[in-house]
Amino acid sequence: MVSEAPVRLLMIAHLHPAVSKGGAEIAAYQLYNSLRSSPEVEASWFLAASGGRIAPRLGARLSQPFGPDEYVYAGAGFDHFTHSNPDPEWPGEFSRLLEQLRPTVVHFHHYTNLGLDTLLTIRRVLPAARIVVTLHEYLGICNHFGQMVKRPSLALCDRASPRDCNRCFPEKSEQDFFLRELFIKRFFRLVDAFVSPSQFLADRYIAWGIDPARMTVIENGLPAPQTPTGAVALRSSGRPLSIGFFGQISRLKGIDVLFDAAALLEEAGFEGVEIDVHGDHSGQPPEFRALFEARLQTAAKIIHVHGPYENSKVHDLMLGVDAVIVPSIWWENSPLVIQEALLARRPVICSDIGGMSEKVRNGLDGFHFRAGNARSLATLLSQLATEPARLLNLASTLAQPRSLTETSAETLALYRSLPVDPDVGGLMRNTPAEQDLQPA
Amino acid sequence: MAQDLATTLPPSDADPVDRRSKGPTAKGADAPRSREDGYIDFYGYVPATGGWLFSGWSRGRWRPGAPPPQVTAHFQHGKLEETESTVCWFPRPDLGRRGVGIVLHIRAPGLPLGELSSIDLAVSSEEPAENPPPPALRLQPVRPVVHLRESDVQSRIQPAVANAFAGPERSRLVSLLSRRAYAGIDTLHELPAPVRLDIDESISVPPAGLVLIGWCLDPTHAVAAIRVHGPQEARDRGSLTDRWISVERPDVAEAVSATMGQVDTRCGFVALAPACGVPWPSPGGAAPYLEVELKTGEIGYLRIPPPVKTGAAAARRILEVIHPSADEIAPAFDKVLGPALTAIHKARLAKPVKPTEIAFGESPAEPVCSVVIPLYGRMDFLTYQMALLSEHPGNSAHEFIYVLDDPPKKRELLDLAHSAHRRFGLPFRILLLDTNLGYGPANNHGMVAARGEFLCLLNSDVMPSPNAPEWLDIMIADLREDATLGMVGGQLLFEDGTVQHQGITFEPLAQQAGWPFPMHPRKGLKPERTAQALEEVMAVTGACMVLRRDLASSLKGFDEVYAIGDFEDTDLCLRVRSTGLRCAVEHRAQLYHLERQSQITPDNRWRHHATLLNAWTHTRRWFPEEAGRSHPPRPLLRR
Repeated sequence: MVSEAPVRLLMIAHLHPAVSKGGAEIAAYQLYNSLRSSPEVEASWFLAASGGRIAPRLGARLSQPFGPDEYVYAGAGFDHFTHSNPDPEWPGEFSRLLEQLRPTVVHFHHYTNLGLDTLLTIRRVLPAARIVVTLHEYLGICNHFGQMVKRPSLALCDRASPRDCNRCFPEKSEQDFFLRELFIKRFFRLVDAFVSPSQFLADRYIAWGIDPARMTVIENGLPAPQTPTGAVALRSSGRPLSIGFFGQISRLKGIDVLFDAAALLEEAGFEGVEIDVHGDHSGQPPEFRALFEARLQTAAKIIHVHGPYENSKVHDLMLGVDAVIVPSIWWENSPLVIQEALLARRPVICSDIGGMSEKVRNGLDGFHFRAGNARSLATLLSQLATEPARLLNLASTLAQPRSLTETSAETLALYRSLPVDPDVGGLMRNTPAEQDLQPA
Repeated sequence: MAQDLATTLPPSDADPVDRRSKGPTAKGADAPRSREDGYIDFYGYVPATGGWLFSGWSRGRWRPGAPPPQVTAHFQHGKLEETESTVCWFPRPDLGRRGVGIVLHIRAPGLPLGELSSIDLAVSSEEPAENPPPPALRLQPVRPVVHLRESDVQSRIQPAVANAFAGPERSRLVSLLSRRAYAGIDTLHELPAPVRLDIDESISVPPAGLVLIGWCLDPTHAVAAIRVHGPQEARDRGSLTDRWISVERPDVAEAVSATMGQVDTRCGFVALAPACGVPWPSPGGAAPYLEVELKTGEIGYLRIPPPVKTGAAAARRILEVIHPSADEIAPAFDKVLGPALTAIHKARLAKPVKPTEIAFGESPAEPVCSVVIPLYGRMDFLTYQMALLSEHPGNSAHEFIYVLDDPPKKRELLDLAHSAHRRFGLPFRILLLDTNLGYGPANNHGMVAARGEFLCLLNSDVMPSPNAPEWLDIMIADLREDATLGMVGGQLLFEDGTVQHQGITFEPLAQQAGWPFPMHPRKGLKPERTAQALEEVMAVTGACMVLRRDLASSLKGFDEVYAIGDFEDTDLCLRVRSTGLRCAVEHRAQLYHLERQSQITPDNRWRHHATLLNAWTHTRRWFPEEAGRSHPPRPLLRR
């Protein structure tokens, strides 16, 4: 039976966008605000963890610094290995909040800081509430920040297993990794619906053991841009092809691949490409920062590093380049920068793996090169500079990015589709199917 | 000539003697003699000689060249016999032809034996006869009996010995009397032989005795015996080398090589001196000491350092120093390790322990099953278990009792427990032991606190599988359905789904003294499809076993003779079976067991040796025919 009752939504994020500008919390907050405006949503609240960025009130776990419907949880000691929250005061305090708000849908947009065990608190207090979890990265599967790349080589990883994970983290035993999986899946079995922004990520979780029937792919939507969208166009003929990199400057984002490709082009004496790097590396580990800063001294002349930018300016910045490059050496999920590029009507040049190759159709939305392979990228860039028509021709095939309104409608439809036990009229429901998940 | 003074006695009972006796007869002695054989004028115990000295006269001497007489001294409260003795004769002109002077030395401890009754000298026979011939000589003490103190005996006996007829016996007595008593100082270095001996450590193991750990070098094989004397002399007066394990001491060999050249690296030892020197220190303050006797008769002494370690530290010290090869294991345990370690273990557990109980939430008042889970080492297993056990609603009918057997982890555990209870909601209790007792006793404490109709003994690293969340209910149903079933074990899997345990058989391991060890058939392999879910087996692992609580109580739980944690589970199963009930493994009750990976490595050899101690105990109890054997590689007790 499908619910007809109005939705009372509690949206949960691991951080609050007022103090943190990560993609996940921004997406969660945008979706929350969009759903909040829907007439089908009777009431809605936003709960985020402070992440140590919002001072707690002494002795209290919850505070409301941002408005009557927004809550901030301040707790310490989060266990990133099992994504659990050992804070003994949280279950009680959260239970009281749940009893007060009585949401019918609790949507986790990320479970870090709050903890997977919080799902059990919801199930114990509100057995009828539907629990939705949007997956970010491969956090449940992979202990390496959910990136599914090996440590320390950063080689791509296809599948987790206690033995393989122990090789990446020798300080944790195979048994620890097995326990981690048992633990995470025990709480994942409480989830009514998982939302994955990409099919690739959904498939990885299904292969890991998530029931496919409980997996839905919904792309993160983008709010409409403030400035008019440009057409696919080269800035002017005769000038070098302008390629823009946007986002975090880190090894996993493939900055080395980009620099190496530029060096190869320069060695070859090719001057038809200019690369503009927009982004920040100040949040990276000190070793990387030192290496990157050293690298800047010897970087090819065709690379121009512009430093950090305000996210609100990304659209305008993208309009200033001919194509956007996403050279990540990890799988990615659904990178926001691809959506932003499509919104700016700029083709995307990206690694041929994971969420990138899914979101950028080769030859339709942009072009792929071999992930991590600077020579492959250099070859592609020189070809595109020599034949700019190949980029221009994408104007007719370039996909429209998903809008926030569409995402919001799909999410609401998902809430509606979740079965409610008819015997208890939506107030109570049986414990979720417990046999769906089996450890690999 | 002195010989003319007395008749020379024949070394047989052919001597026609008058059996009428003049003196008092010891109770139970032979019929009264018709004529006197002689008398003991005085006697006493002389520690420096390691025995008793007697002086008197007899009607004749032993014929020179005959085998020495077998001497038995009868006292009010016992007798000294079958022990080493020395007899020699000396002239007693005052007696004329009636007799000849006699001096006897009997090597024996200074036991409180009461008044001397008589001394018998008999012809020694190779084989013990059923009716031993009457003694050739029976000497009785003069009345009143003259029992002298050590120094008086020595001074009065000196002239007699000096005067005695020449022979090896006289030389021996001279040597014995020249010995100085132990005066609390080491005299080993004064011995006229290159004997080096040192005691690194002593460990008091009442009532078994005193364990000595040290090293000994005797390159010229000069040592006749090594003995330990203590405030309470043991009746077993054998040489220490009878209860002695040689161990590798390359450090000693290296250190002495400059003066002694190449020596045996197996010069270390662990030895058990039975029942002497306990308790230490004795009420009089006297400490045991070591006596080294050379074949030439000289004696040297060595102080024994007072024991420092007790309990687990003492056991570990012993277990770390030994490294027996397969053929040495059984004698090492029979002679030294078994009695010593069992004594340490029992003393450790003798201290009364009262656990502190802390309840997290309200457990059911009448639980169906009490699940007892000892915690040692990793406390976070509780978090995982509670997270996973809380998933099955049926588990709320049971109670969960954790027993902390790792006192230093108390704070960590209580923090985790508080959090786990708040997060997962399943009630449980914690019993805090203030001392580490080991697996068996920890479980037994949990059992005492249990209230359920059934008892489940579970390891903290056993985790329910999503395939069988109702594992406990299945095992309980098995016991309810079949009254002939006493014990049910779970099917335990490794994390890759292969078998860790599905029942136990026993197999003698040639490399482990041939003692039967528990074997886990199909371990490491994928489980086979079985015809029936419940399969009868010899025994099941204590990692997950369920039985009726009243049965467990009547059997007094795990036998605490087993140290640290192994063999108590199979022992319990075998005891259940000896009541006529059966043991079975339930294949539907699948759980994961994160078996400890590196329990036995060269780094923790002591742990392996603790297992051997348990195997020694287990074998003597359940496989007595295997206990005395060295290499019996034949399968036994297979189903």
